[in-house]
Amino acid sequence: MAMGSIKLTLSGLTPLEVEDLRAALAQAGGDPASLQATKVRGEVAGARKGEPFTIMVVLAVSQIAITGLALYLAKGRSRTQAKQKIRITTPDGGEVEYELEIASDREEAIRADLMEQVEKLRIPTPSGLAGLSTQ
Amino acid sequence: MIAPSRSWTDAITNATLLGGFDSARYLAWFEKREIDVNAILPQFLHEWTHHWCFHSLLGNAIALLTLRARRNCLVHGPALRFAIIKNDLLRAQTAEIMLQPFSEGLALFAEFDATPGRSSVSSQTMMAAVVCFGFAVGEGRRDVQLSLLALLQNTRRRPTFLERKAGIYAHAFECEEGYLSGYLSVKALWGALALKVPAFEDRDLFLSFLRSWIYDDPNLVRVLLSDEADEVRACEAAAHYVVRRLAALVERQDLAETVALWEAACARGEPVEGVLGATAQQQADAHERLVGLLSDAAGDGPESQFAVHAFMTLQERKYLTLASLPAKAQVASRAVEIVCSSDAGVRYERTMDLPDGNYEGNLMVVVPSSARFLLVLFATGDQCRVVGAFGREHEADLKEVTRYALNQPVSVSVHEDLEQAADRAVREGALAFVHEYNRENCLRSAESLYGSLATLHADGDAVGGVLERLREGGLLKLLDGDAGLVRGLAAIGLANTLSSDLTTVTGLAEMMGIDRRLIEQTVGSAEVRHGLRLLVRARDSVIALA
Repeated sequence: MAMGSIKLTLSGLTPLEVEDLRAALAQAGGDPASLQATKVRGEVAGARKGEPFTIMVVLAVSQIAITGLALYLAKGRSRTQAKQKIRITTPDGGEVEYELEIASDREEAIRADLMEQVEKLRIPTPSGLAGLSTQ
Repeated sequence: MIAPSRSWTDAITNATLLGGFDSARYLAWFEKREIDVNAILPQFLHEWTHHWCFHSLLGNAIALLTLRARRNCLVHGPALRFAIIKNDLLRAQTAEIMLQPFSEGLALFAEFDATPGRSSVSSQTMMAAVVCFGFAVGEGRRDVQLSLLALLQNTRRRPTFLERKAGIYAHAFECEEGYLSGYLSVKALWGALALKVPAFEDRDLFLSFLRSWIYDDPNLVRVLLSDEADEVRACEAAAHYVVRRLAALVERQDLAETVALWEAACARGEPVEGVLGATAQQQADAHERLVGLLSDAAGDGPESQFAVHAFMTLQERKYLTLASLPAKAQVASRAVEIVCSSDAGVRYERTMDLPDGNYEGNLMVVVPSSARFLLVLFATGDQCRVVGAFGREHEADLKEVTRYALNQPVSVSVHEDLEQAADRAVREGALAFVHEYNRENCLRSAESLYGSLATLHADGDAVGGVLERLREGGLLKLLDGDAGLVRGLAAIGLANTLSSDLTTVTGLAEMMGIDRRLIEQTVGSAEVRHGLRLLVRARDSVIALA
C-alpha cells in the first residue's frame, strides 16, 4: 500500500465476506491481493476458547477500491445490515469513523456516499478520484 | 476502534465473556421478560456449550492439572520442579489440542443445529437459553419448549446468522483453532449416527450425549492422570485414547441401546459414568486421581494456599457471570435503592438487611451450570445481596454463590499471576522445546482424527483430495469458489432445524435472504462434491450433512 494514501478499514467480516470483497475488487478491475486482511483475535489466547474470529480489512482509497467496495456492499451486505461502520485513516494518521447507510442495493448510491465521506475530510484526493461524481 | 470484541470462555477458570453484550439493556429486559430475542444468543449458545463442557469430570481434571503446574511455576519455578511441571503441562496440553476441534464443533452444533425434540432430556445449553433469555409465557414443559423454539428459530432465520454460519465454511480445515474441522466432524458424526440411533433425530439429545461421551468419561480422566512417569508415553496414550473413544462411536453395534440407557439415567437424575463404560472401580479411581491433584493443599509449603485457591476454583467453576455492571446503593432503614452507574434506567428498590449508608459495588447476573436458576446480585465489599431471581432460585446455595461473587476481583488477579508464571516457564529453557515437540505431535494426531471424522461421508478413494481442498480453502474451495453455493448449503442446514421438506426449506431460506433459485441450484449441484456427500436428498426432502 502506497505511503500517504487514505485508507478505509472495515471490521467484523467473516472469511467468506472477505472473499466476496476480493471478488468485488477484481470485478471493479482491481487486484484482490491488494486487500490487507487481518484476523481479529481479541482477548482469545492461551486457555481462552473463543467464538470464531472475524477479520479486519484495509484498502487504500482509489477509484477501483471505492467501486469494488460499493459493489460488495450493494450485493452482499445490504442483505444483512442497513449500516456499515467504516474507519477512514488520513495520510497524517488522523482517523474518522462513520456509519455508511446501505439503504439500497444500488452500487451507484453507495459509491456516491463513500466519495462524499472521503471529500468531507478536505484533503487532496488521490489521482483517479478527481473526476468521480458524487451524484 | 471499530473492531467488535470477541466472546470467550476460559477452560481453566470457566469464566466467560460475551463480547458486545449490552448488560444494562439486559437487566432492563429481565424485569418483565417481554418477547424480544436478544442478538447475543448465538454467542451465548456457543460460550455456554464451552462452559458446560469445561464443567465436567474431564474439564475439572484438565483445570486442576493446569493449576497444579501453574502454582509450581509461580512458587518454585521450573528449575526446581521441572519434572512435575513438565508432566502436568504436557498432559493438559495434549487433552486441550486433541479436543480443541471437538469442543468447537459441539459449540457450533449448539448454535446452528441443536433443537429440542422428543426426549425429556435437555442440554444445559438449551436450558440456560430459556433461563437467561426465555420469554414469560408460562411454566409448563410445552410453554418452555415454545419459548425456546421461538428464540432459536427467530435467531436462525436472520440473514446475519446465516453469514455467521456460512463464514465458518470458508475457514481452512486445521486443528489449532478447529472451527471448520470440529464442526464438520460433529455434523458428520450426527449424520452417521442418526442412521443407527433414531433417537438422534433429536439433535439436542445428540449434542448432550456426544458431550457426555467424552467429557463425562472416567477412563479418559484415568488415562490423562495415569501413573506413567514418562510424559511422552502418557501423552501418546491420552491422544490414542481420544482417537479410539470417538472411533468407538462409529463402530459400536449397540449404540442405540447405550444411548437409551444414558437417556434414562439422565431423566432419573442418576450418574451416567457406568453407562459410558466405566466400572465402579474405574469411576472411583478417576475421582481419587482428580482429588490427588489437590494433595498439596494440606501441606505447609507456600504452594498450599494456591492449592486451596484451586479447590475453591473447582467449586466455583460451575458459575457463569452473564453480566456485571458498576452500581451504587443507598440504604436507609433497610430501604435500599440500587442504581446502575452507567445507566440510571437500571434501578432496583428493595428491602434488605444492609447497614445505612452509600455503597459502591457491582450488579452481577449469575447462572450455575445446571441452569436451573438465575440470580441478580449486588456485591459490595464483603456484602452480597440477591436483588432479583428467575427459575428455581430456592435451589441456590447462597453461601457458595455469595463467596463466588465476592471472590471474583481477587481470584481473577491470582489466576492472572498463575497463568503468567506458566507462560514464562513455557517460553524459556527446556520446557519450550518439549512443549513445542508435544504440540506438533498432538496436532498430527488431531489432524488424522478429525480428517477421518469430517470425511465420514466421503468415498474412500476421494478422502485425500477432499482433505486437500478443505485444508486449502474450506468448503468454499470444495464448492469450487462458489460463495452462493456455500450460503445455500448453510441455509439448508439452518432450515433443517425446523424441517427437511424441500418447500419449507426453500421458504425458510428466503427469510434468510437466499433466493429460491440458489436453493434449487444448491440442491441440484452440491449434493456430492469431489467425492464428499454434502446433502442427502429424497424426492421432496433435503438434509445437509455439513
